[in-house]
Amino acid sequence: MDSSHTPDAAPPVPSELLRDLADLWQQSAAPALGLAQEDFSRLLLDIGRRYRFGCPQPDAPLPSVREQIRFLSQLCIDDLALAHACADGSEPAWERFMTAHRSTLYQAAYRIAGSDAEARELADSLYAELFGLREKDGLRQSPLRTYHGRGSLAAWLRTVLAQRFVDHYRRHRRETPLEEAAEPAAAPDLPPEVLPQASPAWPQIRSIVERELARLDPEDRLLIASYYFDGRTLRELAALHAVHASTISRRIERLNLNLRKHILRGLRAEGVDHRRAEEMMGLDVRDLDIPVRKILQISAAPAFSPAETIPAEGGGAHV
Amino acid sequence: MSDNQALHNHPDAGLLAAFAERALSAPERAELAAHLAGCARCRDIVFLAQQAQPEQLNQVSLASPRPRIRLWLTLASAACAAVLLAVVSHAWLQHLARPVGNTELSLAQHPSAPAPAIPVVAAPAAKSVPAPAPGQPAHRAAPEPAPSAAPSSTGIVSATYSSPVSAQFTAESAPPASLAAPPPPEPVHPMPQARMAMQKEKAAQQQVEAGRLMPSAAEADTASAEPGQAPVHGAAPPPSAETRSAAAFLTAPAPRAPANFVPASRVQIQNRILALDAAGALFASDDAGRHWRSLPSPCAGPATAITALPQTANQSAATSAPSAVRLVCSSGGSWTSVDRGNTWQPEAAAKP
Repeated sequence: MDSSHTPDAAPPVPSELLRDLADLWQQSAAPALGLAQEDFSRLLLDIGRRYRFGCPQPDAPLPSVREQIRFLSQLCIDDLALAHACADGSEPAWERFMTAHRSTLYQAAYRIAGSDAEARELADSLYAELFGLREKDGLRQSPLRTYHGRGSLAAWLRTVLAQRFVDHYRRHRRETPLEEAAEPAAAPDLPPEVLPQASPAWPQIRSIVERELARLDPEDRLLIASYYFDGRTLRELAALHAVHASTISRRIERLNLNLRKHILRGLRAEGVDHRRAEEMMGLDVRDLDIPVRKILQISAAPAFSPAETIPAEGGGAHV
Repeated sequence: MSDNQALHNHPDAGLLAAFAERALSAPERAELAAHLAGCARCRDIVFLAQQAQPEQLNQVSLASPRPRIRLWLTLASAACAAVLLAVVSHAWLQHLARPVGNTELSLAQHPSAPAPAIPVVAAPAAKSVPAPAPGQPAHRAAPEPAPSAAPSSTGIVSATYSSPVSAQFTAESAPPASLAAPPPPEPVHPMPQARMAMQKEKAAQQQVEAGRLMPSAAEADTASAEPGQAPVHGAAPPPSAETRSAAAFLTAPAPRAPANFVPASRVQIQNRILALDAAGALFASDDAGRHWRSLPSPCAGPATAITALPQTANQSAATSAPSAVRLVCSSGGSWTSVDRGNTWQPEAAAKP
């Protein structure tokens, strides 16, 4: 028999995958950090099954064994071993973590919070949670257990810090709820006859805009939302997409042109005369009574399925 | 979990971090991008985390727009420029080193050619070329290729006033305008003609400026012309002062013979020296050998000897310098000239 069963009666694991899991354990820092091969292999399998080995469609078949091996090989196995060894309370692991990430954690907190006091508070609270001061069912509760090696541990730490900062300050500072911010008011300076609402084709116009926005590629929609609604700079967008700022600029310009062209075409198809259509296209989309932000949300893919979100652990680690 | 999280089921920090580091598969990335497009909270988290990373990591992606593509474009542009330069240089060198077409030579030089390139005064019956006007020597055809296809080994290239002559030699060895043949026939390559003319003018201008203007050969020819004999370019009116100046410009002194120029044979006719080089090409010097220029040779191939003819009865016995020369061709024929090599007649038809 060339396959073995995992203790929790999971589907049988092909021997080829088992060999790869053993190799990954051997290559990683897990042996040096005291992580057993069986535990590490189980961890990797759990991660693979959680993310369906990179295939998010739930109705699609699982990728082949080769693709599963490739998915697992792309994980940051050293960081994964370190994080889980720290979550288990391994002293050598914590020493390594302190050396590699402590200063980075505080520097990131400072860049996020902007002030030394807030940064220290943010970093200290997370650091304490990471250490796992609480236990549940004999198991240390640490957010490090939710790290799955999809990105580097340093990036994960920065994201956790940012998440806490955003959630904290969105709750406690002057923040507009998402629903209220989705409906920008129409520009009061515009004569009423120019406003698209004055047109009898207004419902069709809105549907055209919704349709054209929905047709956009998800990354293009993200670009529009980030640039026009969040006010992100080209530099920030370029850093996120790992391209030059000029590439982002050209992409946004191209998006605008195509959007305008398609919307104009749709308006003409709806019977709007050319002059009125041009006037409408001359208006800033943010001045229109079109809830573009809401449209983007509606037209976006459904939110992540619950299986891919991490339930809050012990009431603290809301990562 | 906050109300927002409960409502929207946001992705975990690991997925958001993986998105920022481009560590997700394409379907995962598209799905997460779709969520981020509609979720300001998650967008804030992603961008904030992005800003929190060290500066050097942020600058890596901003350093250069697609450095590989830029490098490729730069290399491609450089390669194209190099190829273009090579092609242009090759074409220019080909033009400079373009040899004289043998076809032209054969057509020009063959005595029986219906329209000889060298309008020698041949046997009228055998030639279809209209006989020159009385008193006027036959015109020299313009497109006189050099006798040898290749430039002379002496370095003095035939300075024919038509086509396939190297432009760099043309300006320096162009015959005087007054001696120039009537308008040359249709050149094979008009462009080189224009270029040659421009270079002639430029070289002549330089000579004038250098104060090395030689007496125009036209004037010399006119002075030494046989009585009753009009200059070769007889149809033209006597050159005015301006024309003479232009002629002088155009007749910039031929390049000095290279140091190793040793005429294989030479003969002095009045104030002109006619000489053959080792290749059998014909040259003339009107300044005692300081400058040489090529003369069209009637021989189909290289000439083997040039000698002065014995004085004829018309000449004054007191004149020791011969006035006629004989040119012996390697093909076996011979030609004579009574006007210092400007025109030639087959010896059989030559009048004593």
